[in-house]
Amino acid sequence: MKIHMAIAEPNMAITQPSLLITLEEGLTFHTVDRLKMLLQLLPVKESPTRKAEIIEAIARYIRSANLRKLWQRLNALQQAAVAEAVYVTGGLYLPEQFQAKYGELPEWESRTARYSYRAPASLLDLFFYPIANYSTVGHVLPEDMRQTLKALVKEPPSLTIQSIKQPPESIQVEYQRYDYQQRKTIRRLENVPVVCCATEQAAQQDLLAVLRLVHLGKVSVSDKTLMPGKAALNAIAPLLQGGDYYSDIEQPTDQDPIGDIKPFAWVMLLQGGGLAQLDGKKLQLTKAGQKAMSTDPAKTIQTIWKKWLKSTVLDELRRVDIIKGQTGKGKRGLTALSGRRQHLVSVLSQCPVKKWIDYAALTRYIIASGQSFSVSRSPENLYISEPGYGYLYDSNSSWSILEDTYTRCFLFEYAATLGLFDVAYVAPYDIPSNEFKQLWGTDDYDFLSRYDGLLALRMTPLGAFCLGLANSYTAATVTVESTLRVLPNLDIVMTGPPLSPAEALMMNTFTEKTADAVWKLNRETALKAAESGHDLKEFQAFLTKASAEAFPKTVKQFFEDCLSRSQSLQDQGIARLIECADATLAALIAHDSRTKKYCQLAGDRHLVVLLDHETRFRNGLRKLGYTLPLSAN
Amino acid sequence: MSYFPDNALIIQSDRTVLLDVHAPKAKAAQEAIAPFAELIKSPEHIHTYRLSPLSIWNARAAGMPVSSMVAALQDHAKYPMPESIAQEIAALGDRYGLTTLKPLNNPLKPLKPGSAEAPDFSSDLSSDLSPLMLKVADEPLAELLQRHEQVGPLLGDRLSPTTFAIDLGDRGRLKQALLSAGYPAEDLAGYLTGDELTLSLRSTTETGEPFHLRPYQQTAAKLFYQAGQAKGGNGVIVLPCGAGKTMVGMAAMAEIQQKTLILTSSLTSVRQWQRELLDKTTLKKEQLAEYSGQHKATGPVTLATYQILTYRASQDDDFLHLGLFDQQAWGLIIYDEVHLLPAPIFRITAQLQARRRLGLTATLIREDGREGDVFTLIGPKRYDVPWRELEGEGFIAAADCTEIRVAQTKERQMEYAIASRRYQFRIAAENPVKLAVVQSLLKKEKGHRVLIIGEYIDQLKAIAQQIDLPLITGKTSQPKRDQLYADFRSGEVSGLILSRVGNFALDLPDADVLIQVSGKYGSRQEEAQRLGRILRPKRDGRSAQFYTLVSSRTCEEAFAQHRQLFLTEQGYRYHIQQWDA
Repeated sequence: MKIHMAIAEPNMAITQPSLLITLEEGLTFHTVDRLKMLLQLLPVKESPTRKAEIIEAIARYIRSANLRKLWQRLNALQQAAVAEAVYVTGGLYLPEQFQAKYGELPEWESRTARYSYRAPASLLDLFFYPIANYSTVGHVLPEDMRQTLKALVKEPPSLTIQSIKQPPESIQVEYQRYDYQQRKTIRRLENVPVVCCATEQAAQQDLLAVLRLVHLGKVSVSDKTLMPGKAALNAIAPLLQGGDYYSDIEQPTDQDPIGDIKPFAWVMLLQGGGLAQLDGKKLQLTKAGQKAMSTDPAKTIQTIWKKWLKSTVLDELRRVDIIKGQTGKGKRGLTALSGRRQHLVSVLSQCPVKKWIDYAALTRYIIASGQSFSVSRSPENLYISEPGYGYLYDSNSSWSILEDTYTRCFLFEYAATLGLFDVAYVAPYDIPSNEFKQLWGTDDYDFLSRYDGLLALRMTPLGAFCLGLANSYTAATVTVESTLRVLPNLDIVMTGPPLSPAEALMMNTFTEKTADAVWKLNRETALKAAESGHDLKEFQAFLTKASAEAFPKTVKQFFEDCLSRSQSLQDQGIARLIECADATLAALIAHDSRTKKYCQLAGDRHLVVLLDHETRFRNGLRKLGYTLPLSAN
Repeated sequence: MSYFPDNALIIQSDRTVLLDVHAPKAKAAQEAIAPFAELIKSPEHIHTYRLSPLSIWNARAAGMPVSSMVAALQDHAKYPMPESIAQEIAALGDRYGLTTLKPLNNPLKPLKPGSAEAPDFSSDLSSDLSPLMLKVADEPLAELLQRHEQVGPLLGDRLSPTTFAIDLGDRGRLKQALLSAGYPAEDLAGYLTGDELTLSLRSTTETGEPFHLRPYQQTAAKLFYQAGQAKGGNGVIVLPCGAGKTMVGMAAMAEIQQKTLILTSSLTSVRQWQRELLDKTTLKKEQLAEYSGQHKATGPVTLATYQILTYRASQDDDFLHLGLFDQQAWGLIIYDEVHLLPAPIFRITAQLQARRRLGLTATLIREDGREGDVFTLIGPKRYDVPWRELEGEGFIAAADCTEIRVAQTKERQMEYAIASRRYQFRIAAENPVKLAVVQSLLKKEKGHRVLIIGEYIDQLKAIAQQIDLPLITGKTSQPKRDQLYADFRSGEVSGLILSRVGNFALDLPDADVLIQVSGKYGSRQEEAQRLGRILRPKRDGRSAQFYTLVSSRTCEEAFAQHRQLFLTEQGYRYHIQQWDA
């Protein structure tokens, strides 16, 4: 029987009504034969035959001071199981949770025997009882016993997420191949280096770079799935600080391709965060997106994160292509996205800041602390490879590969891309065999998901800020080296450290690149950028910051001119041009009190009417005794 | 991308090299690349060099191996050097010396059957020079060149598998063609020996002032002459206005000691040359001759204008005076203001490759883009020095450049707005409000020697009426001009109003304020030349003031920006002021 519990904080006792109030109640659910077996475990001389008498004899012994002796007869692991039930689980024995915390299960013959109805009784059976008839194994500690045991049993050690000093520099991977000549399997061990990726600073720069690219109208997405196409991903990848996670890894051609992670994530995050939306086939920045280009990126990331948790733009599980049935029958059984994400966030909030955590330790902690969650209510409708085979109900535990792969994707692709967590990883095909490989239909695949290589993570200060663990966030001080020299002939030369992709994109937006390290300030280009909604003042501020000296006069004048020219004209909206029969009529309409507010004279015989004023203009025109036939256009 | 902050060079894939003058190793980098990179721009923070085929071949000619060039770049690169650059340098460097022009002292028998007679050298301009041959490195290259569209027709009989006879008259055109084919010829054919002319530079001028060449003038003359070797004796010297290009010309004459033809841009310039030659060399008045509209004399040193040489009665007639080039056995031809060289002179120069040629200019910019022809036909740039460097050493006056933006009246602005684009520039340039600005500037600069220069005669006349200064235009007779210039030099008049006749070769050493009221669209050369009018160092060390008046909110602003490019690239900074009436 699988018991799902309410989410609990670690080490916080579950407070819910006990399933068994008294010891006798629990004993009643056993058969007489079973009760006799239990009685034999106790040092009592009498040997009653009637069920009530046996129950009374056992209960008498347990209720006496002998309970201490009975407790002492348990080995350490068994004692821990009882202690967990007394203090942590509200009287329940939860084997997965226990194993996650202690690494193994207590010795319990009645559970390990092949035929449980003939299985010998175990001392633990005197503590845990079934809650229904015909059940030989129990898992509930009666409430009265639990209260008594509190005096005898020490509280179990508290549960914490174990941090590690550093992720390993490499992991050992065993490769196997069959040698047909020697007719034996050759095993080869290889050390695979682990990549540690600091994400905090990069994410803030990446955000600005991707926003600018979207603003340039260079990111197209599918109008059905809202997912980016290959062209968009290829456009984004080079702009990212340090590239994508696996861009530096030479992927073997005989392995499944890993695919894009960060570029994909940014496109979905911008949409989920309300900064970009589909316009035709391209993404366009929303007003919030445009504002984000000039605001503190950390604040924007916090907003994106909050909105992403509630967003339905994408179920992260969709990124695991191998798991089929997500858009078919399995879709109905998928649990609510926001619930899953909030659940994970509450777990992640318990992680220490700036300390590495082994991913496996994190998952153990989730299980041990009873904070597991479900991705699907009907995993039997999800499958690998082919329908009819490889159903994921084969993976029958409260923490199945569904939850695991979802968590990996959520952390690696979204939380880490936003800079909330640093990550340590290897290529997904380099990790040792896991549960996935034991499933049917996985032989054709090198890995379950591109996120399988995630080994460890570390919450960044930005992560703490976004998860609400810190009230404020101060970006690490970046020493701004004077990177550019702005020359009087309007040339801008890169003389310092190479520009970040976001900076380079900004330069290319507002200026004309004339050589590898030279850009030219050009009025037409600058005005074109301003016309497209890019902020000239923002560019001027950037250039001022990056410039080694104050601007030469010619450059100052250039900006003044461009700013003045970009603000000299105002778009008042779309208008109709109306031709009058003669100049007199045009003048009459343009000066009549009923129409003059809504039109303007253009030349001798023409009037201009803004579309917004059209109805009122027509009303006034009718009062004046004229009408304007509807245009064919 | 790796990054070495201390290094000074930014090497770009378009073969330009930027030198960050503030980098700790800037000086070393500058010295390392100077032999094979050509300085293009030198504004205050970043100098731009170009790795041109010519600069690389010059370095190869001086014995510098390709590996040293690549190493110099790599050692001083701030960012990784683009791979293509090393390959291009190697490719270009290896081509040097593959073709050589030499005198044909022992003509070999022609290879072609039926062409047994000696090569036809009837087109020789100089019959005393031995015929030429082109020697190429190997047979495949010989075949390639023979089939080349431009080179092939200029090759004469094939004297051996790798040797061609060359018509003497084709020497210039062949060099041009070989350059464009990417196989520059090493010209070792030498020069004609002109008639002897004994002259030397004085140590004390006629007027009693001590005189000696400045170090950079000596260097320039030395780099031109190359100690009389065949690889020297032609080329262009680029020096700022007022830096003494005439002195370099005189130094070259003194080195060569042969009859010299000096071509200049105007009669005023002819007179200035005459004055300088008499003042600073041992030449006598009777040795100087003027070949102009007024006089048609030739002598050991003959001074002529481009205008007279390119004169013809009508477009269909021949040029009447081009024969001047053959009238004497010139040992040297000096092209003053070489950037103004007109097309017919280019053509004749192509046939004058057997004579030593010196080009002098301050601004080797041609708005027609024919700088390449200057290099090929006159010779490579032998010497160039940033303007600000000479200013720093006190050889030319420091100058403050100010652009004053003058708003038009509302009516005028409307007139500008509705005018067709063709006329808008003129309307903006002739903005009448500029007159008030001129008056205000004259008040401000009272006591200084002022030149007012403009493009449009009506505008200049209007100014002249208001401020009572003499106006010199193209219509002003030469004697009158000479008189007015003399009056200005003597201080009798405090200022002059000049049309574009004042753009070039006008030596008014005391002028220290120049007001440019209008110009020829976006001409960078004109802007620089006009500034040059006030760059002669002042006795009291005061700096020169250059004002350029530009109508605001008009296309004149954009043209002004383009005009200023050359000077800003030389390190000059413009202050921009808004004129507030």
